[in-house]
Amino acid sequence: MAASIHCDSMGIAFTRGSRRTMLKKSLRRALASHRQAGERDPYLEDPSTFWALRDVSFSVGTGTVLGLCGPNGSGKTTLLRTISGIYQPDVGSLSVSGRTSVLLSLGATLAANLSGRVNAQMSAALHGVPSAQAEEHVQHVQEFAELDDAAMETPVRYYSAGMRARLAFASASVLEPEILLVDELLGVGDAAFRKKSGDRLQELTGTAHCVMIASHSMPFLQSLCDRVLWLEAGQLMADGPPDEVLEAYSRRSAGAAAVPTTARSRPGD
Amino acid sequence: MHVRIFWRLTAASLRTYSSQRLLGWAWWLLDPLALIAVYALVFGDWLNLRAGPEGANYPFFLACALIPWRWYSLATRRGGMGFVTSSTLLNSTLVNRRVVVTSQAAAATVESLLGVGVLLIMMLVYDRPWSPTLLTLAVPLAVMALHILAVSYALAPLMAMLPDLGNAHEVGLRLLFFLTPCLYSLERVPEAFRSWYVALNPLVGIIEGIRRPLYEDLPPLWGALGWSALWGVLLLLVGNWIFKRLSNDAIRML
Repeated sequence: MAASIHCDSMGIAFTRGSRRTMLKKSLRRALASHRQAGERDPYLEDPSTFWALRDVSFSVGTGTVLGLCGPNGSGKTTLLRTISGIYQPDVGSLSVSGRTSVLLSLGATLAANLSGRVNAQMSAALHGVPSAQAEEHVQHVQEFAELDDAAMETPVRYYSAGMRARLAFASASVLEPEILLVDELLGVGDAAFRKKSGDRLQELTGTAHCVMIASHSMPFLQSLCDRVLWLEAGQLMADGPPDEVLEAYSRRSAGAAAVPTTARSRPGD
Repeated sequence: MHVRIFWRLTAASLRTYSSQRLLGWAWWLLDPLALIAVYALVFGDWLNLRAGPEGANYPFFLACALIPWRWYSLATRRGGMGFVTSSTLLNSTLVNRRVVVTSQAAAATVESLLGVGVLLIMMLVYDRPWSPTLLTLAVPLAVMALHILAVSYALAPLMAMLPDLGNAHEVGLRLLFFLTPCLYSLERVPEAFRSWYVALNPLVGIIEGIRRPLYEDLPPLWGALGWSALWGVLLLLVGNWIFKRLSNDAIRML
């Protein structure tokens, strides 16, 4: 099956303020018998709502390495979490087809008190590897992560940052997912690991997979991606070839103004 | 697939617990034994409940209620904290949230199973006969499991949104403990209030339903257990509704 992601006018909202405000708002939403979508602009200013993603639209198909750039807090991780299914869009629609594997932060899915082997077994279960193939999966993870038997039996809390990165990346990437979502992971670790993980990503895309990578490293995105999305304050500022988008982003970072590609006038603007 | 993830998460939770402690699994045995010893001393000997309807075998009387009570309190606490303790996993991997919460409650259930060993030893010590009545235990145990799931599903998203609920849960459990016939016999509750007491406290039927076959070789009080089962079904409906409606918002607050 061809892997694809279609995102149409998608928005993700967070409630800001005290926990009481958040709970009150969630309960009010939960008790509402029906949605009132379409009756008014969902993005209308509401001081207690923070839109982490606003009106984001794009499509990506098989064989694409899509980069995500933008400053901290621009919505890159939220977008990856939404595509992976962790968050549900509040506005707009999202359709994802293909087996998805997600690598959201350095070793985030690793349980620190458990050994590398147990963590690899857990990742096999979480990614739906059949029991009969679980040991084979652990072997592949161990080989790719270049961890010896002693390291695999050691609790992950004793691992160096590089070892954690290798184990986490290996656990997610040896599975050959149809869609691989990566957040900031590849900028860490030693040069050899960065090269190895980059090669692996290219290998994955070569076998008709779809990869989305969020990174602050522009040379990294430029060398690996076919296309780059630039997010800022939750809005899609640009979507295009890496050279153009990264250059525009660099100019913006240096102080020049930018206008979101998806911006449209709203009531009250 | 969900079943395999469930087992993996349950095993990981148990391993994490034991790997962080010097005595590991021994705490799961020491904890109920210490509780039984202290309550037996204070209530059995000093307040002389042994002379009342609780009977001379007061430590065994206590064990029959304290061990299931400990299961209930530990499992609802762990299940209720399921979102908070698994926040990293829930925020970085697409995993069935219900499986995560259930696995936490299941890990607490496995821990509590060691208490069954204590009960078996006490049955031998107090020369308690093995009779078919013991088979009726399956019913109150199933109702208890229903309550644990219902409370865990309700609390998991709520505790992620409002940490104060952790404190409220602790206070509520402490109050409920003294309002449930764990330390004393149901006969001590004034007769005028007893039917209300049984109907309004969902745990009375369960605790009595576990104690009677073990301690008195009598079947559970089916009427009281019926009330507990009814409460369990209602709580499960409410718990499911809360889980379904609030989980998405709760994950964003982790």
